[in-house]
Amino acid sequence: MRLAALCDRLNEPVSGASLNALRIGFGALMAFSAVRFVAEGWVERFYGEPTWFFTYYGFDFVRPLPVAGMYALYVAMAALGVAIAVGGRLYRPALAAFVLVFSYVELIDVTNYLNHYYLVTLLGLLLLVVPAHRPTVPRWAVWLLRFQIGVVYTFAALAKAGPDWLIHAQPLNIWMSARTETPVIGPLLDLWWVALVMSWAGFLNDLLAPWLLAWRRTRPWMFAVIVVFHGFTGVFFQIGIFPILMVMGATTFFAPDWPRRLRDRWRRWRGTASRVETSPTTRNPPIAPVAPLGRFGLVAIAVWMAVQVVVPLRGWAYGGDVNWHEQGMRWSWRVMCREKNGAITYAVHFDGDRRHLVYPSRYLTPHQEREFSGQPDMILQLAHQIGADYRAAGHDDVEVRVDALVSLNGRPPAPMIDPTVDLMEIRRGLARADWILAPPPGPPIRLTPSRTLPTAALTETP
Amino acid sequence: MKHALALFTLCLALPPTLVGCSSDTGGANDDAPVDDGFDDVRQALLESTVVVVRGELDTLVGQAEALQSATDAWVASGTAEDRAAAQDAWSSAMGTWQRLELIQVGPAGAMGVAVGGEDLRDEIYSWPLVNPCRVDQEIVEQAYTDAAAFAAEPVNVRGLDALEYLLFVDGTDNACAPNSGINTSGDWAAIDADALNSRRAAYAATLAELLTATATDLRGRWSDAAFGGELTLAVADTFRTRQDALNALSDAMFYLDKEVKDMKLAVPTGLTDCAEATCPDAVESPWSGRSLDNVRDNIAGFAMLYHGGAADDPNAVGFHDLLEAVGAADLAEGMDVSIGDIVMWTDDLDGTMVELIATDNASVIEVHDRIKTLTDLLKTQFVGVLDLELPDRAAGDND
Repeated sequence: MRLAALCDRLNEPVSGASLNALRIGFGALMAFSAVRFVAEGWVERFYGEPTWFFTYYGFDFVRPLPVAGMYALYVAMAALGVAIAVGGRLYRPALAAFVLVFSYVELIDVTNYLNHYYLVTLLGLLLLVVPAHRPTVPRWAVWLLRFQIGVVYTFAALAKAGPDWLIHAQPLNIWMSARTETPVIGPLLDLWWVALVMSWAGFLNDLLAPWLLAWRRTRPWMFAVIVVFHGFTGVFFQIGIFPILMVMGATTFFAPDWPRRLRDRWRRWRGTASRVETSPTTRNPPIAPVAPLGRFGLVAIAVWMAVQVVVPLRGWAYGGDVNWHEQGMRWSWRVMCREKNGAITYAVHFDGDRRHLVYPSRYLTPHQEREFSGQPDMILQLAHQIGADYRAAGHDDVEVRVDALVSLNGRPPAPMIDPTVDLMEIRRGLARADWILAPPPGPPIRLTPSRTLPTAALTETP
Repeated sequence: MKHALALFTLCLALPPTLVGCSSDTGGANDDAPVDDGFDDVRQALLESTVVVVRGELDTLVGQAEALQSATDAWVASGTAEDRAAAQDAWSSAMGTWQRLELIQVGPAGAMGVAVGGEDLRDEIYSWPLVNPCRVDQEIVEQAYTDAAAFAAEPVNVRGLDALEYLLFVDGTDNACAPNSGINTSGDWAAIDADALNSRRAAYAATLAELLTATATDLRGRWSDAAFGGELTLAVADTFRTRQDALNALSDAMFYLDKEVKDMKLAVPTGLTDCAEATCPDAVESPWSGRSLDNVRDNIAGFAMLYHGGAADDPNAVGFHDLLEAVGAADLAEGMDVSIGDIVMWTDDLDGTMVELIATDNASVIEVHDRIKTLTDLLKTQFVGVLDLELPDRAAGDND
């Protein structure tokens, strides 16, 4: 297809109903999420209790407001979510304000990073660009949203394409073995082969979802599978709004006028549709022309798409196991793909021959400590703070080393960071970190069912 | 592609299909654990823990009563012999409580932190909130003469920590600053040595009485109808699942990391939070010289929880058994070895912690390091393999 033809196709006007539906769902979900955040007490826990925050590289200036201010922001986000859902002229200003506030609260502390929060930011930006409040939208707007959802699924699949997930069924084997009390299916969950089947099912779901959603004949089936899949993950794992967000995103693969079709079917089924309403022109309002995408717009979309592909790919550029060294881990859709636990102790050498141990709990809340203990860049960041504090206290020759023992997917703990390296000499940055040690060799643990049939039952067999 | 879709659909359809297969093997109800015909190591572990805790609490109640008798005798005689007998009785009770420090589950746990927590631990032992100056102020005020009313006083003038000070402190000095009210008013100076001895004895007797009452109360709360039943999911819905109950137990085990390793050992030995080379004043039990014994008892408590009783008791089921059952025998063995290393090392140490810090600080640091080996396993592979949450972690979302 020539470029001109592609541009024509991209600029074709189509129904804006699906994007309107996505906007309404997105706004409502964001309002619900903000209210839930407040109701769960997470504003206090994540912004009030910590005395020290991990900043994103290049965003050191971002600091939290006093807790009352943070509460106000979450209330504002709930109101903005409602405004986004309502639409009209307020939609874009409300969405711009929402993206701004949401990005701000997410930038405050790296330990709060979640892939689906990143997805919220991206979807917010895309909905800001596309006219998701108009009855007619250009085709590129729908395609761009589909592309974004496709990227999430594709890279989520690629993140699972390793021996731990596909051969050893970890970490699902660990997670499912702890859920044997789930009604009905519980007795199956600590069977290793069940975890293996579910690992492959998850991998195939993520890998095939964009393609099977894009193909008209398989679309309804794939959508049903996605609903079931995300329903299961939502029940098994505490992943908040992620399942709903992904199911909503998947609806963009249906025909752009699917909400109208659904409404008409519903009315026909209820027998409430009048002749006027069911006339072809009412059911399918005329598609109004849309402003064509200019050269700048085309380039901007191309750049956006390139960034969305390159950023998650960067993990492979670092080499090694991203789940271990974590370089390229964030913004890469590596969703729920590892069970990682660390024990971190800093050793501060100062004033020539003195040495202190510094435990992270002096700086971090339990939530922060849990999240940071497997992530080298955060361990480095706290090391710098500890060293700075010792220097500020008047100590000389301050060196900070770390004993970072980490267990990945149930393996025996191994040092993740070279304990001989003075972390004060290491700069934060995106370069390959040679101070991170290689992952431990050998496969992850394979758990066996902890439950056995009673001995009596076995001996009573006739 | 069709096959892949069919396979995946089958995978997802599998669990619901099993509804029919397993519905006749029993299901969950509001009041009882799931009985699906399997012996569950987790259930046995919880039941074993209840037996262990009850046994320890029975012991504690008996020792508290003995302490009460001993302090009463000291009140009556005022002699050094009876004081020494009370000291021995306190030491016995303290030893049991130090084992129970590792099992701050349910009513003993902190309210709002531990599931079912009612702060009873602080009623019995409020370390590290100890404040001997406040105890001396109570000696002046003599409010302890009314035991019932004194139960409303702050926890750090009542528990085993206050008792330690009353039973072991020598001399007629107080622990308050010169500009404190009891010193500037002359009230302390007005108490002569004999009066001070009798006041300390009377105060200790009141505290022993309160300790007996609290220990008895705590033992009652571990009955089958109360928390003992809740932990095994037999009554109420304090814990939704056995996994939640296991999490409460594993939270309690982290006492070995934060309190024992980081506070009881790292601070006095100068490894952390110490301006000098060492900080012997920061030991846990400075008056009785029992700090190292406390650590020994803490280890014993950890081992008891880990094994679900005595390590050689064939009926005991603990985390060791659970790890073996799920196929993590190497980890179970590694933790066993680590516990043994600590016990062997601490048993070989002679002298109090303060004495050892002065003469052979490296030997106490070795205790810290050996405990770190164990808690590193606890914080990494142990919680990972059993999919347990770390203590106090905010229940935020994942992905």
